[in-house]
Amino acid sequence: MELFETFCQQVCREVRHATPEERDSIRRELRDHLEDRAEALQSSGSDEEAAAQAAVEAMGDPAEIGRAMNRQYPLGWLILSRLSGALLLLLCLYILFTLPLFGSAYNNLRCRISPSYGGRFMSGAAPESVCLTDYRWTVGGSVLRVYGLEPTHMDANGDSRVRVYLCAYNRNPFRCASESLVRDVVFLDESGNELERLYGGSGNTGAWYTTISFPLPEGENGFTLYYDSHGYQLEEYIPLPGEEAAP
Amino acid sequence: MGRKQTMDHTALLVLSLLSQGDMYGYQMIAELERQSDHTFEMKEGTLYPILHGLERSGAVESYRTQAPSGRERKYYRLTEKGAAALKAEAEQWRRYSHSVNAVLEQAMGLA
Repeated sequence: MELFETFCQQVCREVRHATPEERDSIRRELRDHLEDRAEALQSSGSDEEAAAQAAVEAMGDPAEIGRAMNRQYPLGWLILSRLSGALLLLLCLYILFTLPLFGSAYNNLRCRISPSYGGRFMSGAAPESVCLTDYRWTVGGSVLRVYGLEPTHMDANGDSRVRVYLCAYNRNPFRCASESLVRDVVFLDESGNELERLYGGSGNTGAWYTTISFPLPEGENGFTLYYDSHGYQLEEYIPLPGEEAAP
Repeated sequence: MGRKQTMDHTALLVLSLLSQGDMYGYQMIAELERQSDHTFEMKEGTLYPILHGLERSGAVESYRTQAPSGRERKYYRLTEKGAAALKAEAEQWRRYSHSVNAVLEQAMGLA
């Protein structure tokens, strides 16, 4: 009924301090009332148009009702509801953008505390052939860690290779680790020759993991880990498990 | 001397009606007309600012449900706070009307 809609709009126009939802609720309630009143008038003999007109007149001055209604909705409340909506939105956006940061911080801490879980041994338990180690070197802002050694890893051709389990994390849990540390590291035999390596890596900004395997010349009981990239150098001798460090 | 009447008379009537049961706006108007034998005839739209004010102050609360007509309506219910306010205001009103009557009777007696 257009007559009812006009009346409701005239009331709601004055209710400036209410939220759009509150205004909708007011409009609906007034409309319900007009319908009920018009129906009662019709059942006592009025025709539809006269009943609608009388129902609107019985309500009173719409602007006056609107102003009285507006006084029931303090401006402070509207401001508070708008502000809390905006704050909630900001909080959601903040959480959305910082979640990955917390995820990478978690990966970083796991890499420091228990790399076996984050790395190759998904169950956390290394195979018997793997010897867990804990070599760590600081390279720039990141740390390179050798957390496992497998002296006799059989490759697809049945050749025995040494397999090294490496990971890298940033010293600051909220910053990215350098992937280059686990990707560009090479291994040298006792004569200083670079050993042909097979590389498999995974990871994310919190921590990088890799396994690198290479054939060690017969009779040699250790190898040299060598890194030279991005202006940083690292050269460390690592004995095979069960062997004494070379002099 | 007691404190002044703090509540609008229509608000007092609304709370009284709601103490008899939950009602929606039009039902209150119809009931008020019936119970007062058409003595109280107000501009019906003025009821709603009063209801919303009472709701904001916590004297009543509202919910939408189906009315006997089958249509959904916004019902109002008296809260404990509203019941306490009604009790205090009704007492205040009784004292006030008693005083007015006393003065009127005195005046009529002297006339």
